[in-house]
Formats: sequence, C-alpha cells, structure tokens
Amino acid sequence: MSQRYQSPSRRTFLRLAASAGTASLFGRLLWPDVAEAQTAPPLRYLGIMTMNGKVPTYWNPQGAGDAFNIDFPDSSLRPLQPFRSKLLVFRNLDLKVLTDRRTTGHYTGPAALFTGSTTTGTGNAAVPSSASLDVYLANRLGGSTPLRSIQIVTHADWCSDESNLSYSESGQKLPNLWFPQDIYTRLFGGFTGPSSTPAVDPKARRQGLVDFWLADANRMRAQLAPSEQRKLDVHLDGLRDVERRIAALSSPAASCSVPPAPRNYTREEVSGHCWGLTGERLIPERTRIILDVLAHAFACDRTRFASMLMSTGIRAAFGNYVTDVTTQDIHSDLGHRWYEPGPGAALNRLNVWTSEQVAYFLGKLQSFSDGDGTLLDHSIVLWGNELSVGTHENTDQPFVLAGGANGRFRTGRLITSPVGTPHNRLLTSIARAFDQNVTHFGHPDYRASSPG
Amino acid sequence: MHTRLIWAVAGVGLCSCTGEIIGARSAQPPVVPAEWSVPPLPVDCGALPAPSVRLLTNAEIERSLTAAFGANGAALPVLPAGPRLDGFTPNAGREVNQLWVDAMEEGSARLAAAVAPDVERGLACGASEAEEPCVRRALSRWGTALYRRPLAAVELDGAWALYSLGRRSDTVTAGLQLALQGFVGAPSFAYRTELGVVAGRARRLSPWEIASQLSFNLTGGPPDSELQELARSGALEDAQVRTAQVDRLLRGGEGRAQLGRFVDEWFDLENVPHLSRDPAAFPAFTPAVKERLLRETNTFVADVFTGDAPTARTLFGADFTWADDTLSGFYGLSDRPGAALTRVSLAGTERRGILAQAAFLSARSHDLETSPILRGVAVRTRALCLEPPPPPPNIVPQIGSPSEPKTTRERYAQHTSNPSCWGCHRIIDPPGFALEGFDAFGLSRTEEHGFPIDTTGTLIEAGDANGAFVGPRDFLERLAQSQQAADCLIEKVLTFQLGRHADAAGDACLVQAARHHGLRSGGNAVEALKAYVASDAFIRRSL
Repeated sequence: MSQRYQSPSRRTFLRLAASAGTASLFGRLLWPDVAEAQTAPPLRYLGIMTMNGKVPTYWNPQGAGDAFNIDFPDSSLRPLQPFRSKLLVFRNLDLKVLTDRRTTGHYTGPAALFTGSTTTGTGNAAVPSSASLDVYLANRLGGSTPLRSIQIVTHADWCSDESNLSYSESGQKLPNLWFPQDIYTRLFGGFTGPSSTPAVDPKARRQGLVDFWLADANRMRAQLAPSEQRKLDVHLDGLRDVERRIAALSSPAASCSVPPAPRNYTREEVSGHCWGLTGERLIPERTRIILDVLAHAFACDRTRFASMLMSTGIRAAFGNYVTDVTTQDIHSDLGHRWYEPGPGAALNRLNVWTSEQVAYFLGKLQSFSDGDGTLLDHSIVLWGNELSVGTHENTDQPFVLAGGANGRFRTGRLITSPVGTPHNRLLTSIARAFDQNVTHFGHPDYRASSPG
Repeated sequence: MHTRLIWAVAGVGLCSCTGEIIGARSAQPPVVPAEWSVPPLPVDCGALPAPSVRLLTNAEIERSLTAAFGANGAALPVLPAGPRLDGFTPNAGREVNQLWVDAMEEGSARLAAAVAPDVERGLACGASEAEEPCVRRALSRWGTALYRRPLAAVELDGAWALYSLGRRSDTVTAGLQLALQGFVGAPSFAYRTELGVVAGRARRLSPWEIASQLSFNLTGGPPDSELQELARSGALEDAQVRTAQVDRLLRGGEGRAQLGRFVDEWFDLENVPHLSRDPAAFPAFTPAVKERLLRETNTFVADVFTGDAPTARTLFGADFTWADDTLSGFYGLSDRPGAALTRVSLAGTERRGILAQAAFLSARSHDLETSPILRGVAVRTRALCLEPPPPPPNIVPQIGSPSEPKTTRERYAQHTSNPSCWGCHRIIDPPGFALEGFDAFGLSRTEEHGFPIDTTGTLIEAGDANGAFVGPRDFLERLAQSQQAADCLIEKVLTFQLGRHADAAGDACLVQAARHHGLRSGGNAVEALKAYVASDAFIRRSL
C-alpha cells in the first residue's frame, strides 16, 4: 500500500467530525424552530433544477405560514399537496450573489443556484468558484457509500450542454449522466444484491493497480507548486474512492431490491431539440425510469447525494412532452412571455408537470421503509430554478424543500423571508442539517447572520 | 474594450526570447498597414511561466492510445467531456472528477485486455532468456511510449510488480494485461508535464517535455518518431529546430486536423453536422450539403494556415473557398470543380472568408430564421475578441414571428431601436446586419418576404475595424484588414496553444514576442506561433 495522502477536503472533514459535538450550538441560527433529532438514519439529499422560472400567480402559495395553501386551481405545486406536511415553500429568497452584481440570467443562474457563489465568465462559460451543495456534502459525508454522489440529467439542452448544476470544489462543471442505462450502471453496475461474493483475486488486482496509480500521482504531485497540486489532489481523491469501493466489495450491502435495468436508449431518444423531436416525446418515460432508479439507489444506500437537471434548457424546445403545450420554443415563447395569459398558462402547465415528477419521487421515497420511518423522513429534496421569472430575474426565487430531513426542519410551512434575503441562507441551513458546522455556504459575504 | 489586457507593453530589460524567427519567409514582403501599432521586441522577460501539469483532452488521450496500440475505437476509454476554455478543449485548468477516474479504470481494463495478446506476441524473448528481463524490456518500451519519456527505475519496478501480480498463477497475457492497464490508467499517461529540472535561476524542461508540448499543441497527439529522435539527441533546445518542426507538423495530416479543431472550437462549429432545419423551409439544406459544410471550413482553414498568408486578412477576407460540385452549386458559383473539394474563386460575390461560409452562418442562426444578434455577438467576441455588454435583467426582446411581412432586420430593429436597448445593440448588431445578406443556412439573398434587405451599417467600438460598410463583402474586408482582428487571431492561437489565458506575469514576454513577430509580418499567425515556440517561455519554467 502506498503512502497515504490526506486531501484537504478529508482533513476538513476529520476536523469537523472531531468537533461535531459543537454543531448544535449553531443549529438554530436560521429558523429558530428547527427541531434537533438525536439519532437517525443517514440523511439523503437531492437537488433538482428546472429552468425558465415560475409564473408567480400560479406558483406562489396562497395564505401564509402554517396555513399556506397550494391546493387551488392551476396551482403549480398542487401535485405536492399529498406531501404538504413535509414541505417548506419559500418566498423572497433571491440569488443575491447575482442580483447584487447585475449578473442574473440563464447561464449564471445554474452556476449560482446550488453553490451560492458569484460567477466568473460570460455566456455558457459562467462558472462559480466553489462546490455545489451536493458535491460539498458528498465530499465530506459520502465516503460510506459506493458512490459519493451522482449528477443526472432527465432532459436538457443536449446541443450545448450549457445547463449544468453541479460543480467541483474549484468550481469546475461536473459531467452529467443522461442515459437511463448509464445512470443505472453507475449506481447498480456489478451490484447484484447483498449476497454477492466477488472473487478475491480481481480485488487484489484492482488494489494493485490503484496502488500503482496512487504512487504515480504522489510522485507527480511532489514536484508541483501548491496551485498545481490541486489537480493531483482531486485525482488522488478519485483513486482513493476507487480503493474505498474495492475494500467494501465483500461487505454486505443494505437489504434492498435492485430495480430492473432500463433498456438501452439511443442518442436520438435522449436528445434535445437539435437532434429532432423523438427525444422530447420520451421525456416522461425516461424521467420516471430515472426517478425510480435514483429512489432505489437511496434505498440501497448506493449513494446519498444527487443532483438532477429537469429542463429543456433555454434553446428552442417544443414542450410537447406535456399534453396540450404546443409551443415551438419554451424559452422564447413561454419563458420570456410568462406575464401574458396564454404563455403564462402554458409555462405553468410545464411547471405543474415538474411538480408531478417531484411528487412521484417523494412517493417513491415514502414507499421504502428506513430505520424508524420511511426514506422520505430521512431525505431532503431541494427543488429550485435558475430564474425566478423568465425575464432573466433572480428575485423571489421558486424554492421548495421536501422531505422529513430527519426532523431538522419544522416542515409544513410557507417561509416568507424579508424581501431580498440571500438564498445562501437556505443552502447554509441544509448544510447544517447535515451537521456541517458552517456559518455560510458559498460566497462569504452572505453569512447566515448578516442582515438582509 | 479588449477582453484581456494581455498585450500590455513590457518595460525595459533584455531577454533571449527575442531572437529573430527563422524560416517561413513568405514569397512577398508582408504588408503591414501604417496604422498598425506593432509592439517592440520584448526586452524584460524576468518572469517565466510556472511549472504545471496538464490533463490531456479526451481527443488527445484517444490519439495517444491509437498511436501506441493502433487500438480500434471500441476498446478506447469513453471519458466525460471536460470544461472548455473560451470554447477550446485544450484547457490547462481541467481537473479530473470521479466519473473520469472510474471511466479511466474501466476503459483501461478493456483496452489492456484487447491489446495484451498482441503485446505478448511481440515480446521477442531470447531462446534461453528468463521471463523477467524479457518482460521488463517490453514494459520499459511500452511505458516509455505511453508516458512519452523514459521510465524511472522505480516506475519500471512498479510495473514489474503489477505484471507479477497479474501473472501469479495465471498466464503471461494476464500479467501483461495488468501492467499495461497500469500504464494506461496512470497519471503519467493522462497528464503531460511542464516541470523540468532546476538549472540556475529557472527550470529547464526535459527534451521529452518539449517534444510533447510541440506535438500535442500542433497535432493533438503524442510525439512522432522524428520528434522522439530530436528529443533523444537534445536538438529541441535549439529554437531553429523547434520552429522548423512547427512547419513540418502543421503540414502533416494531424497538424491540418488540429488546425480544423482549433477553428471549429474557436467558432463553435462542432455541431454543424448535426444541425436540423425544416426541409420545407430550407430545401437546399440536403444531407449531402450539410455533410460538406465542416469539411469546407476545415479544408479552407488548413489551406490558410499552411499557405503564404496565414493571417486574419486571409481567414476573414479570402476571396476563395473550397468546394466540390455540390457545394459550388449550393453557393451558386459558376465553377464546377468536380467531385473533390477544390479551391474555388469567390470573386464577384459578396462572400469573403470563414464568416461567410455556411458552417458559421448556419451555426449562428435559429431554426427558421437568421439571428443578427447571435451573429453579431459571435463576430465581435470570437473574431474580434471584444466582450459584449451582458444582457440586462428584466429586458427581454420580443422579436415577432419570422412569418411577419418584414425583413428580419426590420423586426429586430423594432426592439433594438428602443433607447434602453439601442445603447448596446448599436454595438452588437451591425456585424449581424451585414451578414443578413446570407440566410439561416448561409445562402445569399437580397430580399426577404419581397422586401429588400438592408446590409449597410457602421461598426463601432471595435478599434480600427470601426467604420461604415455597404454590404457583407465590404464589412468582411474591413474586418479582415484590421489590427483588431489580427491581434485577436494571435490571442486565440496562444490561448489554444497554452490552454490558458496568457495573462500571468510569466506570459508577458512570450505574448509580446508573438505579437511583435506576428504583426510585423502582416498579422502572420504562424510567425506569431513560431515566436512563442522559439522563446525561452517554451522551454523554461519559473522555479
């Protein structure tokens, strides 16, 4: 075995773990009535991004606080009504990192949404300077599952791949998986259930390889200045994860059922508009398959952290995956014209459809028993949008947090913050629900304790 | 207004990176417009680039494995795409991620299994030779090929240990397979280094590092046998040898392909073969034509960069392109050059250079109509290296439907003439208005819905490219002759070569040397490239 290298993130984690006892001191910082659970099964996290904004009259709940109402005609969130007690709906959260700099928009929104970071670069080159929440949590807490995290696209703009939502610690776009069969293989490949006993010899060979690669990476790293060492640190982290999985190969997995493998979808079937319309018609089918696979992956503890892009993106897309939406260009014909009755109603039908998918996933989580309750009790699903409304605004963003969150949040509420509250606070609270002892997430100017 | 202040003129001092560039004398003396401001030779090169490692692009990894094993495509690792730098895949900042590491483990296993039997057949052990020396000799050879440098003893020992692990109670093939997977999956294969060894007040790159730099930058693949020989002999320390290699490599098949890749990524043309257009609205957009568009552009680009005048003036202002009968008919040219792409004249047409080729024009259009804004932004940002102002929040254009009885320009003008829009759109739109002479697929047109198309305008906020124009040709020739375009071409060449923006302190000298030689030779991008290759910054690194 080669010399052990401890990456910065792991060192941070160990330090945090050592001081985890202090976390509760800060646990009530944001929403005073957060409940603290003593012990609970591990928390799972999924961040979902859709695009082109909300239509406020349909999306915003009626009523206030505990009495919020999403069960009205054409309510965007109505499909979530069965899970009302496990929801937090937010008003007045802004992507302040963008609005303060007048950098709002379709490209910066995805870079800021789950990172809380300011962005650099223009157009689809816009990137944050720090990790998205799924990656941040996975790097610190994901080490006990085969995959730390997974980044998924159910549908998006294939041509340009300009709609990312997950970023590494250094703010690099992480690649997404698009094909149901690839997502399945990544999560369940080589996994045949708790009873499998892999041969010992392949394990030794893999370990030999990883040792060879680790030694090589460490030799290379030793010659580099700190700024360049980061590249090798990330590589070493990746190899250590391979090593960790090799070691875990023979340990029994949690009792769970492996879902059926999806069929192989072709490139055309998974495509966005630039390859034709076949792909759009299959969006509902593919979305359900992917949600099924991911719910099973959470149940089987294959991973605990995920992000998912559910949007046709911002190029011309037809929207015909939702019955009676007949536009040829969701972005221009609906998003840009959300305030007109016809386009607004059509855009809302797409948002209702997305709500249905989120509700479906919540229902799947609820169908799995987990510890003292269901998987839904031990999950946080955060659903956001790269814009608040389609005219390139990032104030009063549509955010829904769903799931029991191990009792860390008192759910079943509409939380109306003061106008102009940075969404970093929401990200910080979620990080803290995962026992991360942080006072801010993303850009340090937007601390939880700062006013406004 | 320039994107980056990388052309800051250095102060005083002296440096050996200022040497005259040898080679590539064009037949005619270069035309340097009197208005151009050519920076002096750099005189203080104090700082050098920092030592670095660079993850190969997916295409470079593929080329490297194909060069080593002749492997078929099915056996190559399928790696996730990396982040780009201004559209360019060579990105020195790229980091791996878990998906990459896992894909490389899986892919290296598959590849090693596919090639191990052949490697075993090539072992050529002596009749009475023991297994170890024979296998070590082979491992040394394969390791050297894949790492692009001789192996250190500890590396060969490690590979032998891997072989032994695989060989244990198994076949020689199994041992070779594991050792080969070790090499292919190793960081020393996936990264090229620019580390060197300390020599005085700087680091001197190894000849292998220099060979790799030349080869990957200019061909997108590992050093060929001639470069390897030059590395072994130490000749690459000589600037003249390096610049001669530039000429050789650019003209080879891989060099020409790399030139195509450079321009395809620069102008975001890679999706052109996959563009879809409504066949009813665009009957000329046949699969046969679509399939040729990128080949036209890439052949043109390779021709420009390996010809007498690899300049912005030619790239953007050439009165020729490459076409066969199909393309020539599509463009409405009178030439019928035959079944192979051939250089054809555009004299007498409004078409000039790469920005009037259908690949660029159709990539910067919507499905049913042109987009003066997309084209305008692309011309300014990509051809002139000018950053447009960002779209303001809460203002969204309502352009109207293409079926309205107006020209596209009239529909766009309705919103951009609004005072709150016009401030920026008077800067962005003019190049797009000039190119309104070509439809969403790049075909020439003079009217739309029966109304004449106005292709006149005035370019502003574009340095010496500023000025009035009366049509596409006039606009493109003005742009092509500007120092703004010449500087932009040099900037793009350097960004692509370096895989980063040349804006660190250690880059000032190489940038100024490249600009001096490039501009003084009339905007010759290959002279600029050679100045960089000849400079100390190519072969030295800071401590």
